[in-house]
Amino acid sequence: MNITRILKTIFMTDFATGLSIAIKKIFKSKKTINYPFEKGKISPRFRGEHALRRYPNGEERCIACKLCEAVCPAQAITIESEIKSDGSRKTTRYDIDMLKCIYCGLCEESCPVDAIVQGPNFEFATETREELYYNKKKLLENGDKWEESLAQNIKADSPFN
Amino acid sequence: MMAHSLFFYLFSTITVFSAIMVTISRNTVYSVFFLILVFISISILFIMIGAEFLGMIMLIVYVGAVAVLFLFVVMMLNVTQQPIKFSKKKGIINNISVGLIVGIIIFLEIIIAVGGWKYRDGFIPLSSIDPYLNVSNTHALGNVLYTDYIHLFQISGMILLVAMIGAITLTFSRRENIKRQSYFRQIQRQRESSISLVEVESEKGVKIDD
Amino acid sequence: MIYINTFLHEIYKIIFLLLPVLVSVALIVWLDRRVWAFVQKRRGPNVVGPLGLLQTLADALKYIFKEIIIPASADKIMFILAPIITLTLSLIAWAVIPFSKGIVLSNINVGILYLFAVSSLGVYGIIIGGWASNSKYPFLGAIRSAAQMVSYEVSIGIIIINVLLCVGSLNLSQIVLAQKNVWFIFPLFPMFVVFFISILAETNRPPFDLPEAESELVAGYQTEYSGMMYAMFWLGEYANILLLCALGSILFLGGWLSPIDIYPFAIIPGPLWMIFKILFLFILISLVKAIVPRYRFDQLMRLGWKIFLPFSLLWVVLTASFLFFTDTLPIIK
Repeated sequence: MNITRILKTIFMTDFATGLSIAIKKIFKSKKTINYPFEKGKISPRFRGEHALRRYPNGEERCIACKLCEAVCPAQAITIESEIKSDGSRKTTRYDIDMLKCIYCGLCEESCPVDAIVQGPNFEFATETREELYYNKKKLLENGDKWEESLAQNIKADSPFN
Repeated sequence: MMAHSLFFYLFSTITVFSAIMVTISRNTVYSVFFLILVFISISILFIMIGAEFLGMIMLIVYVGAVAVLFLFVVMMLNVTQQPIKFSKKKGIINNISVGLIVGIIIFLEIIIAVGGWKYRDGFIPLSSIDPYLNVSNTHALGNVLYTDYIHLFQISGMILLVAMIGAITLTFSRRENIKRQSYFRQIQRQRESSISLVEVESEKGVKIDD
Repeated sequence: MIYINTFLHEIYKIIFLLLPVLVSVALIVWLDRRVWAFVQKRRGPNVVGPLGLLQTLADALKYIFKEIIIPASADKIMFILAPIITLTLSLIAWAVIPFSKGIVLSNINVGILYLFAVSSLGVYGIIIGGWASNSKYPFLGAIRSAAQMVSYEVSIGIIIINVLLCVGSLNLSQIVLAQKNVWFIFPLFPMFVVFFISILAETNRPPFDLPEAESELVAGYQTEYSGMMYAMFWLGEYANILLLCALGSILFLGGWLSPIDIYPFAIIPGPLWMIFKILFLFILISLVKAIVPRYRFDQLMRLGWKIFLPFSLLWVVLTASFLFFTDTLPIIK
């Protein structure tokens, strides 16, 4: 039986210390960010919303090799293709089921022409499930919208590939 | 005055109705809930006749403590949905006859007590309660309880104490051969008594139990 | 006619009391979350309205529009009744709280007994809710909660006796006025500490939030509740916390009295002092939530019955003998 320990228990000194620490911490600066108004830094490798990119002249990069479809572990990607009149092979259909997608980034890695990429956007919540079945149009729109940061990110990450 | 009697009849109807429901309700837990309703409406009736202290004590003791424990027991025993036993003829005769006899006896006792109190000639109050004194009834009760009836009060307190100790000794049994925790020892553990740094030789390991 | 008139007058007074109480419950939920967040160096709700003040209203709106799910095997009447009982009981108790001299809905002689009775009835909302859900976790939570509230009520009762010995009246306004010279927190400081810990247990606040210990019991008696009925439980709980803070400030912190009766303090009106004191106690409660881990149930029961009860009984004896031998016992004619 330790006398000081008993006295500490009776007079709740540990509790008082805790309380004083708590009161001190109230006036310290906050460690969290003010999320919807401020956002944390995102790595160039961040795997967010998908996008299909184009060449600078406006031509789609995707050559419908279907590597991404094959590698996708969640089988979220569906591709149909045809031969165009100029002899190039292009997709007629490129669907990603964002609800199946596990954001592993394998599609981006497998793509030989950097067509399908995962961009920095992570705020694409919708009110219905249907809106999350992305088709080619939506993906290309995404690509146009985020092209600047996508190109930057790919460039930043290129030394490590 | 009319509103007062209106409320009186309202609450007395609730009391009688729920008292009946206590006995005829099929679900035992419901019976206890109706019993609580009886207690609450009785305490309201107490307050209405100006005995606010009694009414509040009724609420605190009966509703707040006794009925909670009662509810506990009923819920724990899992005796909800008792089948009705009234279907058997014999049951009716047994239950109702006993209940009726007890009820009649209590009723007669009340009549005798009230009649004796009301119609007795030269009625002299035994205690020093003065109903016309202008004090709140908490003070009036205290004045009587701690002066005239102090011995009765003490004795009833002792009886309750004995009952409490009896209940504890009946249910309390210290079993041997089980591990117990000592809170004092738990919170008094110090770093020095529980942690030791050991220099371990390479590829030798360390033996803890010696 | 005169009945209707008085009736309407009373209704008006009740609304005038209840609306501020409900609004302050909403604000106090915000304050609780905010304090908790600040201690943990977070920001807390700060988006809805200025400083996030309207967060609780937004939450309430969400609860109103949510579907109320009644489990198929639940006892429907009792299931619906339980949150109503909780909310009603936590609101009716405000009838006797004096906010200043004469500013009280009903200045009854047994005010403190009334408060005590109503708070002891509060167990029923929880027991009924847990039982009517007809499910394991709510039932276990309800039983824990009932055991906890019944045991801590005993020690609260005895602490109240300590105060009553110094006052000599059960009227709450009288209790406040008796602290004109010295607040009871100074002579009865240990009792204030015990009272504070007991109200934590009585209102199921951390560290005694065992009935809704989410790691063991999902959400205790609230598990099966959803939508507005859950919100009513939640509203009742916070109204109860606020009520016990008010009781604490009346019993120990001198209610509406200002700390010293000199110029800058004396001009602040009484109700404002009362609100300050309630806020002080409430912030203390939410700080405790942020700093202590949860108790185990046997530790809780041990604390209630083996430490607080004997200690407060001993203190009753001490107070009574002190008052008796110094001849300061309040004498009632």
